[in-house]
Amino acid sequence: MDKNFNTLCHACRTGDLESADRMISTGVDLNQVDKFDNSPLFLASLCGHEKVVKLLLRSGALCDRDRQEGARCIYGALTDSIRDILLSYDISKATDMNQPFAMHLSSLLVAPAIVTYDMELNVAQGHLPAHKFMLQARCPILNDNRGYDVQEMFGNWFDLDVDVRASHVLELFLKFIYLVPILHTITAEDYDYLIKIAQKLEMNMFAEFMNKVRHVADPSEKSSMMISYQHKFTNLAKEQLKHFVDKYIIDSAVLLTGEEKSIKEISSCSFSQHTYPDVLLSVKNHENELKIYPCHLAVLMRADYFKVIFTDKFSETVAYQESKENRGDGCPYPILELPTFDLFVVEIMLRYLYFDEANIPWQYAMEVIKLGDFILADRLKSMAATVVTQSPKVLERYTIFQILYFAWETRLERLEHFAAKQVAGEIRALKRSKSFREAIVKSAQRISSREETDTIEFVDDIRFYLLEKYRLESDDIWFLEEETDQQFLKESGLLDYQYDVSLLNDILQELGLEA
Amino acid sequence: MALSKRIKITVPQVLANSNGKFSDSWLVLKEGLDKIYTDCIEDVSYQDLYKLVYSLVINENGELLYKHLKEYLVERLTSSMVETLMPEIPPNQEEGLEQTWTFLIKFDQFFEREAKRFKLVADVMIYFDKVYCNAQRIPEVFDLGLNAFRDTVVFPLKDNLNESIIKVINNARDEGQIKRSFVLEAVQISVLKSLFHMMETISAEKNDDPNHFYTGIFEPLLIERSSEYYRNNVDWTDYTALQTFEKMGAMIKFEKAFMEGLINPDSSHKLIDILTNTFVSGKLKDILGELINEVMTSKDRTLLQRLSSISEDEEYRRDLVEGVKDYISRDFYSIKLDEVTRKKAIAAAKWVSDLVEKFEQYSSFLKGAAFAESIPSNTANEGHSSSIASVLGDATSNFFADDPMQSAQFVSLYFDVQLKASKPSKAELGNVVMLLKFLSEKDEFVNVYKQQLSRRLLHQRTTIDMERYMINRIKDEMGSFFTLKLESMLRDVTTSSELLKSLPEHEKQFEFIPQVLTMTAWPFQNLNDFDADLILPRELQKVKENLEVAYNKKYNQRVLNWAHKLGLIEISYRFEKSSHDLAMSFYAGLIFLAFEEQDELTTEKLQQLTNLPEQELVKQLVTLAVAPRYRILLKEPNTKTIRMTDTFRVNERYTAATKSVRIQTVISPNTISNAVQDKNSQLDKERTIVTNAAIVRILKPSRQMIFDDLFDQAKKLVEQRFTLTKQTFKRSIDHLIDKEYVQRDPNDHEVYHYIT
Repeated sequence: MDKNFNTLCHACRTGDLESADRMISTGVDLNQVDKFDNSPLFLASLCGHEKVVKLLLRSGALCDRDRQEGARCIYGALTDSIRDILLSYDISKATDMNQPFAMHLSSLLVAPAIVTYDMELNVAQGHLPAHKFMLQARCPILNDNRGYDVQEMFGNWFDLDVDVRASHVLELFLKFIYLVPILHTITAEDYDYLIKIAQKLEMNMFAEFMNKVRHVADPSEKSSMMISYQHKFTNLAKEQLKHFVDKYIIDSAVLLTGEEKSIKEISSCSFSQHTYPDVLLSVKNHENELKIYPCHLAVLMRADYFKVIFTDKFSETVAYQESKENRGDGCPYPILELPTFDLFVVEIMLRYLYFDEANIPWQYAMEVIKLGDFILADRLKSMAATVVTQSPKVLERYTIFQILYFAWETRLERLEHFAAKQVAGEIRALKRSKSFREAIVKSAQRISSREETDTIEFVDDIRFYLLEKYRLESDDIWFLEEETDQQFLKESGLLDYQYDVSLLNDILQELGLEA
Repeated sequence: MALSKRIKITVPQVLANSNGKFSDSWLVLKEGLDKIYTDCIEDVSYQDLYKLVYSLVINENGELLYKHLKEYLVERLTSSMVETLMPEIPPNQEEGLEQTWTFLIKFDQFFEREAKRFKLVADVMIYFDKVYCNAQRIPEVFDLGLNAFRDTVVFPLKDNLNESIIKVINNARDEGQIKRSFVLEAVQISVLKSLFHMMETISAEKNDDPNHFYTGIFEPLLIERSSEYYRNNVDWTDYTALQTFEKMGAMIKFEKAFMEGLINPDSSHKLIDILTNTFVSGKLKDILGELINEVMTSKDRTLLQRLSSISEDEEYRRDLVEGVKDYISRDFYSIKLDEVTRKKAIAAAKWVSDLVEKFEQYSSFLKGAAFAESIPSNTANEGHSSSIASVLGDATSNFFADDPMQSAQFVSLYFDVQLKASKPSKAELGNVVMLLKFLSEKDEFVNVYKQQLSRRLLHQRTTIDMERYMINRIKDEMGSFFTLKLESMLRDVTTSSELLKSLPEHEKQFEFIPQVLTMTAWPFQNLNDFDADLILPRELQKVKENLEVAYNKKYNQRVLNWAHKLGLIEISYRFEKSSHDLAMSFYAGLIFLAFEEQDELTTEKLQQLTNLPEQELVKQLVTLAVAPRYRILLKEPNTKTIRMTDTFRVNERYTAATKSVRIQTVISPNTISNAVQDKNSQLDKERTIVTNAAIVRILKPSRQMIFDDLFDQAKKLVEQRFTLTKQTFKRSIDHLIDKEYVQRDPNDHEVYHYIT
């Protein structure tokens, strides 16, 4: 965790938005400080990274003017625009400090792109649609095989007072389950019932929060309590979903080897009875093993690919609706087939989709990028790309040029730059490399098909990183050309730089390229 | 977890067809697309098609795929157009309305269906869009479809489509003219709207043309044909001006409601503008004069309002405002001046009060009509925005400018008459004061007013309160510059009456009212030098000395001169038949008083007694003894001329109709013309001074200037007071050159330099 926090701090200093995003997704506490007493928000404001500042604020970093830490951020802000963002940041807006997975879950209740409910809670004024798996994952009482069943428990709404069935209290409860930020909308009359529900379902933290907050009168104390609890609830939900995914999806998945069982025979009884899937995800790995994961379209549709499948009335949609209508009759689940991927990579994807898991081992990062590309999940892609660029060991496994080509294929600029940077670093060792020459030629060919600029992008990038390598600015070069003191030139790194550049130019000349 | 496993980064090989030829993959994909076009997508697996597209893109078949897809879409469109749309095309526009509608409805349905298909194809090709099309900067699949639709369907059928729409719109207009209500059904409106929406979705020409078909092609046509329609298809014959205007309003209203419900606001605005401009620059222009007459004679404020709000067109609005001004000026000219009567003052006053009455009428009429706002008037170069006040003001100014001097004099005369009347009405006076700012020669007015005021004050023909009220009003209207001297005159009168109070009690044989006047403030220049040497009767002499003592006590630095010329003596005398209060000039009074001690006096003797110079004495004696109106004295011998040897005595038989008699000193004709000339040269002198100041003020900062510019600027600067003539200006320049303030450029006589 500490390492993640340090990485986050580094990202805040350098303005690396994707890296910061990934670290925030690991669930680090954004409001702690590093060994110099600097918070991530302070670092990002001081260094003038507006986008990172916004991300941090959205993700729950606090900027309270009345506290020293917040005041420091505001005074330290590099630009007026960042200062304005910090000043305009209002605690009441802290409601959207949700992480992306939480936003998605909330949207299921508020504005779903595709209707995926599989149950309804009866309330006085009608029905509230819900997903069984969400209730299963979020209500501790249903865990640990204690024999409770979602349908039974919520179907007849356990033996509480009739009043509790007043729709708005139940609606609040349901929104809480789906991580809609409702803490500030709970009114004094709601507390009794909500606490009763929370206790009954063993949602201890929720009950604890309500018992505390109902006695707090000071509005600012109240709202800061809500912020800190909302953060806790989000992290708790993450834990719960992680538990759910591990236990009911991954452990419950069926591995088919050889011919012993056909996909068609898989039905609800093949999985844990608490999974409540509505689609099956089938993957074959490189060893030709086939694994079937019971999944939930509600979550999978976070990736555009899965969403589009069910947007129009293609055969999948027809099968999905049929299967939903005839759930009891052993109607087969619709199957989503992924191309060949390592099973672990697929599981990383599932973890990411269900609860924003960002812990991607570097060995799998490349394949995760590939999968992310296939399912049209750009955020997953860039998270994995961050992992690649931050893991030096990657280069033991892949050549720089493999990474470069991969970057082109998956359109990840971050990786392109990474490759260019590596080349710049080792240009002397590469001066006779055949692959280096190939890469330059390929990059040049990419231009002719694009006709966008006259330069070779890869070469440009290398030049940029050569400057960086010797800590020079392009203005310095012009300035240092006037300089005659050889000793000084040597110390300034200009001579080394000029040597590297001449190497590059020689290669270009040899290839007959002008750039 | 087997983390140490080596991971391959090549494309997963399991994807079907990844090694196959493009043509094989395309065949499979085409089969899927065919399902979309035969409306049985539920038989197709999205995943299969997606993977197919994915592997085609990964294997760098994007370019081929794009080409094939384009061909496929065009082919599909062509055949389904031939099948469903072609049979509905009306053979010509003469066809019935029903056929036209059928065609439009079919067209709309056709587009809706095709667009839906494009959307499905685009969904299948989403990876292609994202990876290939975006990177190549070429239209995405959906846009590719729309472009194909444009090229294969819309362009070939462009004329049919456009003409059909215009036909139904014009038809609706025809019926709207008759029924004055909408004639389209909701369904029809929604079809048209949907077609317009389609036009707004597809681009006008090239792929990267920022204009869409609607703004690029249809809208200009619609505008052209609509203005054609409104020019040619409206029958104005047999309509009066008013009816024509009513009909225009109704048609604009109809068009507005019609179009706003049909096309986008931007477009409907344009159309309404075109329509109103067609009217405004056409028919309305012809009848505008008539309509203004109608407005003004029937004082129809609503009609005026509507006339003004019908168009924002600058020229039109200017025409309207000028029309109203013209009307008002014309009406002012119709005021008659009674030139026959001998009482010129009364006639002038009547003329002014008639004018003010009309002015008031127009003012209250125009006040409620916000019609002239934001119109650039023809005086816009002065930078003031034209408002109601200035419409009327301009009209009045124009009218006054016709004979500026006479107007100034008449207005002043009006005040004189009013103030001399027993009970002047403040309200009426106030109304006339409002007219002052429209006078072009304000200084002339002030001069005349000053003369008249001094006469009123000295002869006590007015009340101080009333005069003060007037001066304050004039000040409000014209600024304190003009009223400085007037105020000082009033002040003199009040200080005089205070001075009188401070005089010691003397034998109350007669009433004495001294008036101490500040030389510079009053409109008279030359006093009679002989006043100081006059011999006064004992009582008067005493009073005079008392006053001098009192005055010097109060203001010991000031010089007090006597101006008997301005004085007045009132004597009660009992004649044989009746007694009369005789008011006469101070000199006449001296002569008359001489008879208090002697019954008969010769001219020579009178001169000795009074010390009047001969000329003045003769003039007064002519008044008292020769002029047929008074004859207070009898002359011996009774001839028309006065000799030093003539003897005079009081005419005891004198009688008159009224008790009080005002004896006016007879003025010889040549003195009158002298006075007028005097007054004029006075005015010219003042103007020259003001002009000098103006020239210096302009020339000083800019150092040098061309004659014309200098004149224009100077004219502007003094505009508030009078209209600068070239003559005055030249005189002023010459004066300044003489005084070495200004120098002509030795090389260019048109250029003047300021000398520092």
